[in-house]
Amino acid sequence: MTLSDFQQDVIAELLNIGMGSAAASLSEMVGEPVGLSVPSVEFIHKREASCKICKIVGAEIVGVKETFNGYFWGDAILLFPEKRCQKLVRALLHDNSFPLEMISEMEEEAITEVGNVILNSCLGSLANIFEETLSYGLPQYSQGTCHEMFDEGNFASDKDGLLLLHMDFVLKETNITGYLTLLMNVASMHALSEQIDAYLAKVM
Amino acid sequence: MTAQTLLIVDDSRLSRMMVRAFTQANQPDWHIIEACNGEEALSVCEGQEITYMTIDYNMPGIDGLHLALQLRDIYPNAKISLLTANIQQHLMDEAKASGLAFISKPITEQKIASFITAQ
Repeated sequence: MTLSDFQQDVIAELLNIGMGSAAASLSEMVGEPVGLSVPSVEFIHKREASCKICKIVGAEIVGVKETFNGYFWGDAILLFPEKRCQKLVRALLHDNSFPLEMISEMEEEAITEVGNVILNSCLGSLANIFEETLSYGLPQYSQGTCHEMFDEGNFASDKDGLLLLHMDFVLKETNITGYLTLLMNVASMHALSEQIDAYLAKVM
Repeated sequence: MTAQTLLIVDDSRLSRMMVRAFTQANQPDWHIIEACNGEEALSVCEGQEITYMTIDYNMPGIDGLHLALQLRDIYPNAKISLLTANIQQHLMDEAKASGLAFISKPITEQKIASFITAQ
């Protein structure tokens, strides 16, 4: 299955709106501007997807994943390069004086909460645009390599290819880049494209 | 109101289509020009009398805020709004400080109507 250029444009724009809302939440949490890339939409195989993300984020990553379900479904994953995570926790605490030990101890909890806020904000704005309800699972924290992260996903055995949406964001002052990816399988992509057609029919 | 010219700058075709449709629904006589990035915007508006502009912020190449400031030098009387999904406070503040309007995405007919009818 392929998506037309226009369908890809629509999906990219919806992701852009979702991430715009998520970045506003993150910016409030860390108290600094968050820069956003332009969104990218591709239909590729799972292995290619994980290689591509590894190349951008680096091999060792920390991630938060939420599974979403509704009219369309998939995995939303937020990734950070592992070595930058302590800096992110300090940015969240607005304080540089906490001892390293305490920062390390809080890392998992803090990153999970950032993931939860960003993923909810992004998925929530997609649900609002479509006037549909999306339910999402609890945020799951993991640490390891990029390939491990993708192998654990719902699509571990999917051979038909995946819709990969991704967008990166930069905390400009603390110089941390994070990556948001949404993965959907072919059936979900079909459902999403029906939803898009219905949305276009309603708004245009 | 006499016919006006609106410049829409957005890398998303969907967004350009929506702004165009909602403008035409309210102002069928307006002339509408579209561009998908800053560079194209500067070239297509040459020789045109632009009176209104909606400009996306996150685009490949020059960002919408810098583009808006350049276009304002050329069209000091035009009404210009950033139209963006990037709804962070710092960007809204910068837009306001630069005298630009701010419309948050998702685009709705009501948001476009209130921008193009504002005096």
